[in-house]
Amino acid sequence: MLRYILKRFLFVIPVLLGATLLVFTIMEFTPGDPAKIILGNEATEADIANLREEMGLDDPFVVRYVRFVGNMLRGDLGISYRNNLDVSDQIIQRLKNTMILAGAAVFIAVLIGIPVGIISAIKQYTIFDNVVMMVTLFLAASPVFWLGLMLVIIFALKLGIFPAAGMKPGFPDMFICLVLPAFTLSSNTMATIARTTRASMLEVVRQDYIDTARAKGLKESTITVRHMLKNALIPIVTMIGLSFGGLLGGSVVTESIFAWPGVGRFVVESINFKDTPSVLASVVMLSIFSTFVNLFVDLLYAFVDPRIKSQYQTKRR
Amino acid sequence: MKKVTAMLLAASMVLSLAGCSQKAKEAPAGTGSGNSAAATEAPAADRKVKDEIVFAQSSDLTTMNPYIGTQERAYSLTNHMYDTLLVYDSEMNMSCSLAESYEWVDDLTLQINLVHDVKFHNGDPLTAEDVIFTFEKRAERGSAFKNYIDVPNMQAKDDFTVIVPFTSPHPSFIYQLTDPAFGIVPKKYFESVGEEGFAKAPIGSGPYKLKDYVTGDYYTLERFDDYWGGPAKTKYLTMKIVPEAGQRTIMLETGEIDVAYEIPYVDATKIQDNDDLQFLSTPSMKIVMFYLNTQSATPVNDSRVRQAIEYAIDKEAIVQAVCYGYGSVAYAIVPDSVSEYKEVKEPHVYDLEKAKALMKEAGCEDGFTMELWTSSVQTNTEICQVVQEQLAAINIKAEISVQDANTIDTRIDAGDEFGMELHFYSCNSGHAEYTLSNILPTGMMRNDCRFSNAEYDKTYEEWLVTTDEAKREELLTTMYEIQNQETPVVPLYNEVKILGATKNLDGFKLSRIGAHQYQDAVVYED
Repeated sequence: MLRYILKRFLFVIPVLLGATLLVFTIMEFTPGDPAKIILGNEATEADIANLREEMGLDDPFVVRYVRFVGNMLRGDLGISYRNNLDVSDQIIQRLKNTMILAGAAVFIAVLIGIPVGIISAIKQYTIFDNVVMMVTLFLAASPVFWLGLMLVIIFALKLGIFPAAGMKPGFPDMFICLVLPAFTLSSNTMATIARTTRASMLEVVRQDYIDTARAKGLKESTITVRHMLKNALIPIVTMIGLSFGGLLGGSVVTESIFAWPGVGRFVVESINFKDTPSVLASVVMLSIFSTFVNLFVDLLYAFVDPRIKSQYQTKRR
Repeated sequence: MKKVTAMLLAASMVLSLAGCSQKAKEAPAGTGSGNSAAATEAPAADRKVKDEIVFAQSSDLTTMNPYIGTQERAYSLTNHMYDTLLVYDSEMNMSCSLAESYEWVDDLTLQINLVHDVKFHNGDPLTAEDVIFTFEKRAERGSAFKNYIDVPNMQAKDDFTVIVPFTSPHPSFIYQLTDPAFGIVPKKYFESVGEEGFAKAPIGSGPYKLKDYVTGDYYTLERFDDYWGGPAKTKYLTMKIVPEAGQRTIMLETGEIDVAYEIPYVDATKIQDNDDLQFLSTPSMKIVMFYLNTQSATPVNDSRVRQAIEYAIDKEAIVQAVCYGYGSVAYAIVPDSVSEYKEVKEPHVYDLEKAKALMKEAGCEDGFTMELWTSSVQTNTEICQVVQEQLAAINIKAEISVQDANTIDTRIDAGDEFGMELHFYSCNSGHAEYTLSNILPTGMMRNDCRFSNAEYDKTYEEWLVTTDEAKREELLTTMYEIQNQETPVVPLYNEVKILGATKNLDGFKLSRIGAHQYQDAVVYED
């Protein structure tokens, strides 16, 4: 198992190199000259040329990329073009906020999605099942920006329960600020998890071993949790892992609506400013975290399904 | 030593000079007329005041370093952290700030006399060396004044007197000293912490000092008790970044913020109808305009066709339909509140018949197809859709191409073909030169219309260095008329800024360049 983990860690290196090369290339070909953007309207061609030289932008593509990789290996992700601040400091702060938001969204999605999916599968074609299917379809189809604004109008403006936007540090302020954005961000994932759980449970609910368990006289709750859910869990865990990875980088709309200072908004702002160091640093950080999440999910398989655990052990032998 | 008062451009300048000497230690900034007035159920003195004012704007500032963060979104914060030598009030009246007075010693020498006993936030005194250092840093960042100011030879006559030598006369330069980007930075502190250190923890001499911040989220300033103009009335000032326009209005309604900037036009009525809020507005320095490609492969290269385009555009309809009436129709490329603004003698007021006649005269009666470029900002795309309809009336088929702003700039630099491009320009110095210098002379960075007119260039160059007021007027008239005749630019309207605030806000001063002032502002708790 340890060897497997180590191997997965080593995979991070080609992933990072590939991701950064791709982003570096894309940024190279997107229109806009950082020197011109920085200097503004009054600068002459000579001013722009001087700044380009100072920033090393005149060096060939390969030289600049190799320089970036060298600095990255030394833990130096560079200085932002737009505000002269250390990129790492800014990203870590933003990434922390995004992790909190994405983590809370996944937590809500799991907390509601799995039980609802299980009950829906057990009570297939009942009113509860039909309502759940309708609501989850609605949540999966609702655009995040619309749902977010609706929640704000109801819970912030009309009822005054939660703040409309922003983030405050410390408990309980942070928790109160987190409710609406986390619920908004979780809506699609929650619906997907509920529907996946239902579908996955329905696949096992008619298996012979379930009938055997019932014949043995086991309690229905034990059958549901130990025999049905455990066997249905693999696709659900996969879905949760993928969703978390997606939410890390894809929460830009929610972050904008709720003025949540996360990494998604930071990347969009950086792209607009052609701030390549900030974009690259964000990609590096997000790639590392996504890899960790995927690794964690893979390891979780082993605990969920003993057959997978035995595969790891067989390989080691 | 020749005192060239004649060189001072207008009577208002002379008045402001006189005013400067008298104003020495009065509160410097935002001395315009009151712009926000709290509902007064009880006398102001009896009312409890909040210790923090929170305002929200849409975008994060690039940096708190004043000479780098030169966008309006930075001004809204940095104008409280730094002082400029001169300032404008809400009505665009210029007065002195850190400069106690200034004097043109001769055509090529400006003497600036600084206010004494000004301290930076770290307690260091503000001296002539800091002013010179600020000029040097701005010149390094590409400011155009380095072309006519001999920056390396600037001198500190004493601790509070700066001598600015010019290589050629430039009487309108003085207006640039009002630009928040000309906030004075502390030389000693800057050199000790370096550029990156200053970007992280900047200090100035303004009424508020930086307390803490999270980029992209919020910036909190704390009152600087030793401020030379007297301490600000509210202890903390916080700027929040709220990108979603509708959310800013909602946060205002829920009381999470006290002032909301950049209110969408569509929300204006909502604020006006809410008894708990007050609606604030001011004309801005921004002119929304079309750049017409004078070197286009289409008939847009013909000045008659360009005039026809302006005659065919119903600007009032755009202001009413797209801006809900919050704007005023423009025929000049600078707002009428700037110095050396001149009314166009024969403006191209909407006249469809005249437009058709000009098209016929140019041999384009059957029309043509051209590209109309714009960025994806919603107001811009709506304007282009209206104009597309209006141009169809003179058989011009305008194909709207929505592109990222950087893409437009790059394609213009690359010489790509286009017919018209929607843009805006803010005259931040409050003097016409700020806009005129960047848009129309041949080869200028923002000459997106690729306009090149030898007579215009010659007149412009002469105007820049002319100190005689009557002669300047004559030259300026020539420039405005060439511009009107050639029509490389079609100004549409002068934008109006609208803001929303709690009814309990008092003493807040609006700024036409977006550097709104909170120094005298308070929010009452009841």
